[in-house]
Amino acid sequence: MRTVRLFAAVAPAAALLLAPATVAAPYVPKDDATVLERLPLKPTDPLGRELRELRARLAAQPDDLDAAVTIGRHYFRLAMSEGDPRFIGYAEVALRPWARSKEPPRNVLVLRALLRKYRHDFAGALDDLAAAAASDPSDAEVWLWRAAILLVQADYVGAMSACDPLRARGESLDWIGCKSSVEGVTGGAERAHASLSEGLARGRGVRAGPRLWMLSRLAEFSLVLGETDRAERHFKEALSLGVSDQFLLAAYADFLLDRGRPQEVVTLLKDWTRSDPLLLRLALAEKVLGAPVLEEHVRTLKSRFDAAAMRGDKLHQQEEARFDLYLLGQRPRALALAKENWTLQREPRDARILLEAALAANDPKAAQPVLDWLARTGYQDPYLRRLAARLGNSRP
Amino acid sequence: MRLIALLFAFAAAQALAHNPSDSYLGLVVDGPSIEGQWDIALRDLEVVVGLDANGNGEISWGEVRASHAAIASYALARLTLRSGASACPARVTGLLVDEHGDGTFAVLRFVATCPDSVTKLDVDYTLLFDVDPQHRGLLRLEHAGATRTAIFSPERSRQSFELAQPSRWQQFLDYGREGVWHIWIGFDHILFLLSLLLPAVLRRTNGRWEPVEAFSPAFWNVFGIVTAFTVAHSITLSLATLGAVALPSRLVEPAIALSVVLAALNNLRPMFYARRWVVAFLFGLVHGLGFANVLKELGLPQGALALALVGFNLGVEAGQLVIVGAFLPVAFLLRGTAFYRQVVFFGGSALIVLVAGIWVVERSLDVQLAIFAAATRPTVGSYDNMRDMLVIASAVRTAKMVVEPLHHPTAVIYSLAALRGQPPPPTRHLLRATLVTRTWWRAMECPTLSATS
Repeated sequence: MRTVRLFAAVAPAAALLLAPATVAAPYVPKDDATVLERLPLKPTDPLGRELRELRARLAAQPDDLDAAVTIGRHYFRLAMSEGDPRFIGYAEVALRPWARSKEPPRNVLVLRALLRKYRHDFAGALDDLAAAAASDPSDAEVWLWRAAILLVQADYVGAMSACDPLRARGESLDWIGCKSSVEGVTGGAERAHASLSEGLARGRGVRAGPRLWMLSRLAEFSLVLGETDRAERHFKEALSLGVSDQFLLAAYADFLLDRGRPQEVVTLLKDWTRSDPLLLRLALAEKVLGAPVLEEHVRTLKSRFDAAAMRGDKLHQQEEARFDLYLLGQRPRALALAKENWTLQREPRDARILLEAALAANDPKAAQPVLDWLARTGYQDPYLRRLAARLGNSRP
Repeated sequence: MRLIALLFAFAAAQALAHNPSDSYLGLVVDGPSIEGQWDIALRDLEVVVGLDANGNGEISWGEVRASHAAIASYALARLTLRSGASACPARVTGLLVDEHGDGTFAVLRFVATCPDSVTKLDVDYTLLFDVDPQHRGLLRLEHAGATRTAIFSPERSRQSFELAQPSRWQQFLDYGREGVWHIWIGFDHILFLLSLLLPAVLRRTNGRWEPVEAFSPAFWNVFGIVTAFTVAHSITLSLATLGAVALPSRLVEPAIALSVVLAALNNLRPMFYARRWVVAFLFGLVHGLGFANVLKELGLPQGALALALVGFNLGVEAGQLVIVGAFLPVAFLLRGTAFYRQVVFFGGSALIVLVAGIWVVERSLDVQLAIFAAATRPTVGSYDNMRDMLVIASAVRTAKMVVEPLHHPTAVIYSLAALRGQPPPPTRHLLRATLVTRTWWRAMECPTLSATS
């Protein structure tokens, strides 16, 4: 029903786009003091200072592997926290002299795998991780990354066997986190929730970052089990940690949208317009509310997706499919994107958009891969199960 | 450390808070010259040029402006444009800023000049590839009305583009179309022509206007006038385009307006009835200079000057013939009516005199505007110029106040009748006149306004 209601509001949004968009034109600012851009790292930032020193060290001694890898690590973390892919490029440049050699050092291989994963070069990343594991099988990070990539590709057997070496070290949080992530999508959400909450209770000294990650997962598992009140408690506890995390915000915004609480989404996300996934959720909420600013946000998202398309990027297909479906009402295009996205990424949210797009386009056949996936994994999410049932009924 | 890894590894998807680093390069190729606009993110320029001079983590317009030369030389050193084997050196013409989906960009405008008309453009793009291999240059290349796009990456940093040359025939047609368009939107040319054509279906006997009996004298009358006008403006258009004569448009434009006034005045108080073709010829020379200025603004294709000239000129003739073709039969049919003589002929001519009179003042005012610009600088003696300006401006306002009542043409027709000592025309004529003049007035308003601005 909710889906139907969303569609009913699509037409005006499409009309907005057809109206002549105000074309931005280059201009000369009136005042020298006009601030045009804020940099992600202030020069006084300790990380900025450390990076400057490391770069100077590397410039003086271009064969300083430690300096290069540390720089690469810092940039990778910045890319994750700032959401700016530029830092991935900077990290690549730092590693370049070694990455080009025939047998790159182990720590270069691991970092290159992370950079490749970021760019969705999953095969290249798995190769690097395999080579790194061969030279030192005791590095837990390598196995965690391997499991994470296989999970995205819906290879659950492979992911579980990548978690296995972590068990050798006892009931570590690494092992519990890895194992429960696989269980959560393969019909074992109950077990996953139990072991992760036990792990969280034991690890009292766990810092806010990992704690937030675990709480987000617990919320997810609760949703899969249909325990929405418990999920909301987990979300709220995670939000109360005072760490701003885009994944958590996106997941909680989706939760609120699904429960018909758009006003709370607007309060939550109104300052996050620079982030594409969060701006998308904000716009979805504004549409339900009929907010006047919707038009501008839709236009901004459109221009960002267009720029990505011009580059040939396929990093946002899942979000773009959602944008096309619910904000532009372009059902065939949304379905095409969701289908292509499913060939690259197969996580529950990728499954969901393909089901929704197939339903909207009245093309149950297009959703067949997801229906197979649901049958194979036993993924429990009641909402996805309902969508699948509707698709099954609509089949001729 | 390990838990951090776990956190990142299982983060479902990347937070794409930003677009990746892109620059937008627009190139418009026209003959040997390439006009460029290059939008580069300030965040990227900060890394390679260093914009944040005061180190406060913010980039202000003042800081960007201060780095203008550094930005220009850094960027242009990483973009090589070549036409065939020869380089096309680029010169920066401006620095602006613009917002794109994510962040503010410096907008560098430049002009590159190649030795010859570009047929194959080689673009070598290396901006930022050394610091960010994920950077992409998004090119939008325009040439002869066609647009194509390309992406530059470290793997594809050098690309060639064959530029289809527009066919001669197409070029000819394009200029022809411009010629037609120009005569149709050029109200001054149309009014001049109409002023001369209005009496063509009438005959002057004993100081009175009578309708001509047959079509053929009217036709040959029109033929003579149009031919004279055409021959004359073709001569000056060609001479001016080839550079043999040159008159600034601030002299030509008021002169054209004046020619319209005189041609229409001649209908109200005949001075040169029989030899209107001579008038058409003499003033046609001035109109030709006006056409030449338009053609210059359009830009002339290298190596196809004659083609453009002939195309444009034939376009003007064709546009003119359509107007004449529409006017003559209607005028001939109406020639015997009082409506034609009173309203169309006298009323129309009077209206033309008024409108063109305003043009004369306004277009002369443009000459004054140059003085005005000088006068705004605080120099001794500027007061007099300012005073002149005010006088002219109020003259224009007065003239407009005279034209304004034409919305109610009854007044005009009554005055005209009174001037000639005749009784006022019957009311049904007045009603018709109202319609006609209102339409005319609406048509006139646009050029009047645009000539002022």
